[in-house]
Formats: sequence, structure tokens, C-alpha cells
Amino acid sequence: MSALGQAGLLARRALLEGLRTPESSIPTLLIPLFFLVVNVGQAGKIFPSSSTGFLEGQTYAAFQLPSSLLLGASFGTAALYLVEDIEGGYFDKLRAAPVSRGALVLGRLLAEALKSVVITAVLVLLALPLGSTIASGPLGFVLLLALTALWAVVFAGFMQLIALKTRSRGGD
Amino acid sequence: MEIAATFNPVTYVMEALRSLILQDFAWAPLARGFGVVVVLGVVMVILNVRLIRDYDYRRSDRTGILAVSRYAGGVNLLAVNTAP
Repeated sequence: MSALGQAGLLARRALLEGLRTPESSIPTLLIPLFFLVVNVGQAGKIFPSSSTGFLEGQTYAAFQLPSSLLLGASFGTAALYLVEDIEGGYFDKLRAAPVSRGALVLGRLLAEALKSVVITAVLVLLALPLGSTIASGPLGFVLLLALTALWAVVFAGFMQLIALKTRSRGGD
Repeated sequence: MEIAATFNPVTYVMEALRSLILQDFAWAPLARGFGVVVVLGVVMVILNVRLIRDYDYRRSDRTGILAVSRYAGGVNLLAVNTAP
């Protein structure tokens, strides 16, 4: 099997891990949403769209939304699952199997990108009632999903570096 | 703060996302945003792979048994660490 096929299988496994513990995804969605609502509630009154140039005619929610999207993409839960694999010995089994080292890394990162796409889409949907719209249209929305997913890959990659270096959840 | 923001990759990703939400297509911030995440993504994958290879060697040093387990063209080469 090619390295890409292996990465696909490992990504599927990583996604199933997330689906088996849906509660682990709740903070990823709720925390960015909480800060979006709180910040818009407070600063929205200070920056009315009618007299604030940098809002380009939109509400403050549209200006604040990217922060929430990046926050949602910056949890790096892949690294937590990786540490569990290392501590449980499953990572050693994968290393002993004929699996490409690149696939070991890309599998989890690919799953993180897909999770980020879903979370970003939900956050954008939830921001619509706050007066936020995507001015660049459907293609802009697709680019928004892609950019956020790529950032999730970068951040999860950084967290995986720490996980591979420390090999533990800390404290021991 | 401005200098710190210049070196912070989040600045460029944030600008690109804001441009998509607030304006019609503005290609310059988009190119910078995608450029930053693509370059950093490649760097992260390379560093991760290097660290796993390093992990293999260190593990073999520590255990002395499960040695170098490296992927080479679909076959894992398992060697025994004979060092005392």
C-alpha cells in the first residue's frame, strides 16, 4: 500500500477515535463560540457598523469571527490522542509495522484538517444570526474552510512535535 | 507590538480570513495567508517525521532489543542493537 493510502487509513482511524468520544469536540466548538458571543456583545456597541470604516459595512461579529475560527482550529487534539497511543504502546506497534513515517504524521494531521472543516462550517453558520456574512461568496467560504483547515494542520503538527518529544501527558 | 505581529504567522492567516469575510477577493492577503500555512505545514511534517526517526533510534538505545525500525520501500528493517 502506498504511503498516501496508509495515511488515509490512519486518518480514518483518527476520525473514528474522535467520533467515539464526541464530548472531546465540545470544547473545540463551545469555547470559540463563547468568546465570539461575549466579544460581540461588548465591543459591538463600541464599533457600530454605520460609523466604523474597518468593518466594511458589516457588524463587529464579522470582524471577530476569524479570531474564533482560528481559536477553534488551534486545539491540536491530535497530539493528545498521539500521546495516548505512545503511552498505551500502540504507537510502538505502528512503528514496528511496515508503515511509512510520513503516513504516521500525515494520518492524524489529515483527520485534524477534516475535523476543522466541520467545526469552521458550524461556527460560520452560528455566526450568521449575529450579522456576519461571507462577503467573498461561496468560493470565499470554500477558501475560508481550506485556510482554517491548513492552520489546524500547522498547529496540530506543532503540538505533535511536543507530544513526540515529551511522550507523556505531563506530570510524570 | 507591531514588530512582534510581523513575525507572528497568525497575523497573516487572520488578515486572509478577514479579507474573505469582510471584502470581495483581495488576493494579496490571501496569498500571504496561504503561503504562510503551506510553508509552516511542510516544515511541521518534516520536523515530525525527523522526530519519529529520532524516536526510533533513541528507543533502540534504551531498550537494546527493539532496534532500528525504519520504513524502506514498504519493508521495515528491524535490526538488533548489539551495543553493550
